[in-house]
This record gives sequence, C-alpha cells and structure tokens, in this order.
Amino acid sequence: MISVSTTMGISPVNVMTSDNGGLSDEQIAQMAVDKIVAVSDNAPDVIREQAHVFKENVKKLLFHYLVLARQEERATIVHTIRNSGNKELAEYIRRL
Amino acid sequence: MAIAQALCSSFKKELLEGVHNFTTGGNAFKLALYAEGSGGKSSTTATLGATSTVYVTTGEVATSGSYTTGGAALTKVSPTLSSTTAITDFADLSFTTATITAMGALIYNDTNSNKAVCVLDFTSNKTSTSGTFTIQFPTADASNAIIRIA
Repeated sequence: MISVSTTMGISPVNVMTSDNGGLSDEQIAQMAVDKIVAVSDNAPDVIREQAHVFKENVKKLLFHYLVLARQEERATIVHTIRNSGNKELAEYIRRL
Repeated sequence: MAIAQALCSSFKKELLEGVHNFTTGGNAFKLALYAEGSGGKSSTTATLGATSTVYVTTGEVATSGSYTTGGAALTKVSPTLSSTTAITDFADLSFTTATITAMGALIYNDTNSNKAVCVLDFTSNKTSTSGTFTIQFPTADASNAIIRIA
C-alpha cells in the first residue's frame, strides 16, 4: 500500500481593540513588530532572549516614527484647514 | 468550549475536491465575529469548531460601526511555498467606530455557499467600545501562517 501523509495547521490571530477612538501608537507598534520579528517557542533560550531584546528595540523605533508620522500628518491637516479659513477648527486639531 | 480553534473538517475534504481557491483572482472569503454568552446578538451562544461546515448566524455579534452581520471580506494573499510548506495569508482586518465583544471568528467561502474554512478562538472576550477592533493575522511563514499544509 502506498500512502502520503501530511499535516495541516492553523495559527492563532492577534486581536487589538480600542475604546472611544482608534488604536494607539503603542498598539500599532506592537502589531508591526509582531509581524517583523517572530520567535519560535522552541528556539534555544539564548537566541530567544536576543530576539526579544531586538524586538523591543524595533518596537521603540517604530513607536517613535509612528508618533512623528501622526504629528506630521496632523500638521498638514491643520495647514489645509487654516488655509480654508477655519482657524478655530485648525487650532482645535493642532492641540489634539 | 463553545468556540474552539480548528481547521474545519469539511474544509479538508473540500480542499481535495477543489472547492476552495485562495488565489488572488479566486474565491471571496469573509470573516465573521462571534461571541460566547451575552456578548452576542440576542444573547445567543456560538458553537464553532472542527465540525462547523458553513457560516451560521447563531451567536454572531450584532452590526456596529463598520462591522455588519455576515462579516467583512478578507483580502487574500495568494498561496506560496515556504520551503516544503504551503501557506496562505490574509491582510489584517479592522472594524472602526464599533462596539463589539467577540470571543472568536469564522472564516468562510463567500463564493461557494458560505462553506466554512476555519474557526479562530480569541481565548477570551475581546471588546471595543466605540473604537477599533482589529484582527491581525500571524506572520506568513512555515511555522506561523494562518493556514499551513506541511
């Protein structure tokens, strides 16, 4: 008898939620780093620890640039709204 | 457990029958959210697992924000090989301005009679209140991809 065996697998997903608004910079940075750095549970301790340190460093970097991206986008929005004559709304958004 | 993570048994059979096509131009797949206990619509409890064969409304969360009953379309990534393991992937899915409590999800084939693909168990209730509810799929590699055939 000839047979070929195979295995099928499914992995858990990550769920991120927020209240009264969108996801935070911290949550988005976490989602990004989870995609960038995957560490196997079966990896040797030394490698796993090193990977986790690397992951934290990447997360800090992503967080910094996410904050910057949000600030810069807001600055562009404020500029556009101010130019259209809505100075009060522009100021409100600038203070967010 | 009323919601248990699994590749649906019917899906495995249907793969051999050529029912599901995950390529970019292939079938349309959707993801629907479910609750256990009072989190769901009409306080119904979802029962989902390996024996699920098709999309059901029992226990599905109610329409809120950008989530509508029946779930949302998934953006597919065409199957690839990672070494000797065949994998497929989906883009992350977000529902915004939504008040949702969900314990799991069902991915199903919207093109082919809503046939079930797999059940995702969030392991605990995840809640958003007038906020964003995001499902992030794992890294698409031989060890972690959402659906793998080794």
